[in-house]
Amino acid sequence: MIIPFELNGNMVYIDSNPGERLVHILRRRFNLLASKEGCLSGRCGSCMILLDGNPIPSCIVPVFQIRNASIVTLEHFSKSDDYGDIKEGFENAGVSMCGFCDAGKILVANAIVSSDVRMSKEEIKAMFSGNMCRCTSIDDLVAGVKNAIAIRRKRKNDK
Amino acid sequence: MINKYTTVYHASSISEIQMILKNIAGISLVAGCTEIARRQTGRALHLQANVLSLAKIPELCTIAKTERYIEFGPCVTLDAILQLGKKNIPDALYDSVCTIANPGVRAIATLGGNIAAKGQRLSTFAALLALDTRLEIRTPYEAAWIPMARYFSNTGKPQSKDPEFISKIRVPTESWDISIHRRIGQSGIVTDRTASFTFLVKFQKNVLADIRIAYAGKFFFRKREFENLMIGRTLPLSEKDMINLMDKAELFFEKDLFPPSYERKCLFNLLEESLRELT
Amino acid sequence: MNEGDIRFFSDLEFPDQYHGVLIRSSIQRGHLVDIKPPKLPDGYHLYTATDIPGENRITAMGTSIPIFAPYEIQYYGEPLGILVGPDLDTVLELVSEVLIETETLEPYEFGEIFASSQVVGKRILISGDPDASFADVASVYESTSEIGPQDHYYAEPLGVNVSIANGKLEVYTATQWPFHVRTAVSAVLDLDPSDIVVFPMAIGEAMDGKIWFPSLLAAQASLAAVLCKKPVKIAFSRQEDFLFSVKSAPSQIRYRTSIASDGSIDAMIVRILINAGAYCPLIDEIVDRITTAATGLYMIRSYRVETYALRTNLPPMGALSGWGEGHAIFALETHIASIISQRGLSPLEWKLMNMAVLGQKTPIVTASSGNYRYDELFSAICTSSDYLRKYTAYEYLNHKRKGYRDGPLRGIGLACGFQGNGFSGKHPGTSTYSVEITMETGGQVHIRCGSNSESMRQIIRAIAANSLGIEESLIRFTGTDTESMPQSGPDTLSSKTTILAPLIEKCCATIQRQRFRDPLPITVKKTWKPSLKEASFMSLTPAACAVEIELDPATYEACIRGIWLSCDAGLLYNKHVALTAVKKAIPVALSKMTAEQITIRDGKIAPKQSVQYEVLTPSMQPECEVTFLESGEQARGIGSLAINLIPAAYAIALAQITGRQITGIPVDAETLYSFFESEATEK
Repeated sequence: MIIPFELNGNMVYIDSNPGERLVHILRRRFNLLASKEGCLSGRCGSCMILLDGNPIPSCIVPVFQIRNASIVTLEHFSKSDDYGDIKEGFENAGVSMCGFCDAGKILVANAIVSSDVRMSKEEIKAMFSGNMCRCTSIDDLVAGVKNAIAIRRKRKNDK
Repeated sequence: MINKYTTVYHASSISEIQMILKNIAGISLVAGCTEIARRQTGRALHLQANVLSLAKIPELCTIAKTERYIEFGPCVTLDAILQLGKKNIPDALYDSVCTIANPGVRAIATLGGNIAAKGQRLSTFAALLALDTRLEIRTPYEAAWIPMARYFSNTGKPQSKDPEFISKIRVPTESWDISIHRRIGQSGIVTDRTASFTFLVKFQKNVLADIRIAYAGKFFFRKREFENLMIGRTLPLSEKDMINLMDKAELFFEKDLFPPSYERKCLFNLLEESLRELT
Repeated sequence: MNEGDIRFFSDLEFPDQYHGVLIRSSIQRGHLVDIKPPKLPDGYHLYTATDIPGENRITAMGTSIPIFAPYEIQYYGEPLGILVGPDLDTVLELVSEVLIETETLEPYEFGEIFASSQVVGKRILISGDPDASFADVASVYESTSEIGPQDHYYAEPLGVNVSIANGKLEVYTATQWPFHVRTAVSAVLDLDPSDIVVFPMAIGEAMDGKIWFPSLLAAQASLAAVLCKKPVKIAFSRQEDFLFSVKSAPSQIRYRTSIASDGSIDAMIVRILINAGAYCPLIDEIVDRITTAATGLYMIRSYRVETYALRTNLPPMGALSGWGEGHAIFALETHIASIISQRGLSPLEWKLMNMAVLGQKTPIVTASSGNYRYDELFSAICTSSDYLRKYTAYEYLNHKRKGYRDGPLRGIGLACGFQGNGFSGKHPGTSTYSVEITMETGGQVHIRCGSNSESMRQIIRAIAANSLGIEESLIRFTGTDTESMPQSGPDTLSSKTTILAPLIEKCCATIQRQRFRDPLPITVKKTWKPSLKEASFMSLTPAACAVEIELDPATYEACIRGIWLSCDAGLLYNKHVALTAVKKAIPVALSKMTAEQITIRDGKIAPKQSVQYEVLTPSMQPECEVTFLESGEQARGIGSLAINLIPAAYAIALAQITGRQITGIPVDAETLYSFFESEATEK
């Protein structure tokens, strides 16, 4: 079936079996490799994308679901200033990143940083319950997010 | 193996859904598809031959609040429910949604999908059952409000002659003096052991005015006759009352349907623990 | 490096890429009679054992594993061939249509009774005459622990991509042992190793699940690539990885201990059975380490440890972040805790009384080393966790309990153990490590050490910059493939910290001595080879751990109130990196102990409770505190400490609550429920 959707700001159309997983469409058809095939069950976060602005694991989305939706992958997000805040915050906290689940860590972190709600450490940890990072400790991730919040606040105030 | 011949239909309104249901026999209704994805490990997701996607139909994604209840469209995502905030929805419902999967999955999983999952009852079921949730059930020809407890059955719902779907979920928002919701089994993943328990109590002065007890796992329970035994009792309950009630509970939760097991023991432990709140 | 840049093999796609899917056996044990493929379209090919030009096997540490089973089938899902073609979906469909004709044989089972032909590894350690000490039945304690198979839930499932370029075979895969990949492919294809270049791709945390298995996949893909003259990629899905890749070898460990009247250990007899699956290349090392670790660091007058590794018809088995000593530590510590509890002794006092000290000899502790500072380790734990007060309070509460709901159900467990470092591989050529550093005329420093780990590179940069008095920005890592990197053994068992880092220091020290009298560039190469042929470990990292638990009386689920871990890690190159290395393993340890369960039916592996394999995410990590003792010792590995010790401490805490020794991994709520039910029934 023909499925139109917005991908990284551009309207695109694909012809696909409806049950194909979105992560495979992104990787095989569009060569967008930042979303990785990890668990295929929505639990590890390696395939995370923004679907209509929300961080979603693309491995559990059958492609017919994205009809007329807006998809943003980490490649596109990484060109934004918001990404820079997260990256800097993580580096300052010493968050280890092998790269495989970057999409999940960064997009979830951005969702927390962008949220108006002030979250406790436990709430931030809970937001990462869909991330199975083996390279870093959750304490470093939380510290990275808190750094990123401060960096973004400063950047927006400086404007 | 992926079904190459799946045809996906999209509707933009309830009336279109009804028309499609009338014209295509055996069509499968899907929304977030998270339950489909949870049960499959293949490279692609196997779908039925004909599928009707409900996810983006505006009429099914609404949330409307009145004084006495809050009404969800079945395609309201679990994340949207949490976004309403704990103050605006019953505690038991909020607590049950928090234990489901992870934030990414909750952003696409829907309340209707959670209620209607086949086989094992999922996490919101007990809470909604206890809250006396009513469902608007539509067929191609008519709509009717049915209490959730009557719509679902442990022994297999009799096949209705017409295809039907949930078009609204109405949850009473009365406040409860005690609201307990507990999940059995690890949060975030559904296993054979996963189940939920909800216990709600309202009292007026020292009298137990209302009590609701619901359990949902491989099967679900809500025993009004058992609840009625307690309504009107003076609080606090005595130790003797507790023992009597726990003995009676053994009779109400039939052993042939729910044999002695870890799950049964958890239910009774949770029941006892909750009733102790009244002592 | 930009997001989406190619770092992982699964991201690589060559022009004219072919995809390979393995044809697998549908029986557990038997003989292959015939493989009947469907009619293959143009461009699609099936290759089997008969197509292999060289040896139909890879050899890893003395164990041979067939590339494709030619006749004897040893486990369900064993590869029989590979089907390749340009479209993956078509390949998958064709594979599902392949008919396999087999004859079934009775499989080898894992159990107490076994044929000698099943034994693939054996080690016996004896000191004194332990049997003589068991005359006094009253002081004999017995227990048997069983640790099930578990999956290496690494981030990226296994796979490989092979292409032919510039007259060479280029192999791209995430592997802990690139040179083994080269050796394996060379033998299978009968090619000179110089005709093969292995590019180790980003690997993340492999948890010792990518030591030799990538070599098998590389050989399979390389065969197909050479024969069909196309680049061939094999990429396991998570499910395929779970079903058919290496699992941690299950074990059964039985202890029989006799305690003297003064509370010391008179004698100990240990019998260890390891399920080696159909193949277990690491089995010699696992047997060695588990045997040596079985008596821990306790003084025992006489002992006998017998370990047998048994071949069965299950998928290949291997190590899991630590090579067996974690199993031994779990079984030993829970056994000892049970003895202490039955005798009404204080766990801490008893341990301090019975730990080996400097000069005393045990299978692990030699006469020349052994001051493992357990008194300081325990002191650190007791201070941070308030262990003594809590243990006493919980003992009192649990003994005085009138009923199940009489007070909170709490326990705190104390365990001691270690991480064994260094791969002392008994097989030639398996454990040589080299480092080469060149200081150029412009002051730049190029390091070739074969380590891809970003955190290790941070440490190496810091060491080099500090030693040579230069900026870190002048340091470059070269040698990213087997043509340019120095020969090395597997990246496992803290080889980076215990072997590579000291080699870097030595190279830098040599350069520093030479640079002001000899002209640049200067190149220094240092190599490490194992010198102690009999030692099981190069070094030990001693550690102690406490875990405090509260049991939910309604659901029997354990809630962890705290984890405390102390260790003597020697010199810390970077404290933050060290802390992260310990902490990131804590959720892994808890997941192994409480959630990850595999069932095996008719030789087929499946998750026990769900369609998906249940794994705890790092977000579920409870509050934990890690203490490093100040130390002047050489750097020691710490990555497996949590996995080695936390299960034992957790089980001991549960034992305090339930009054029963926990003898299995994993332990779930349903098991604890059964303890309480049987106790209620007995009353």
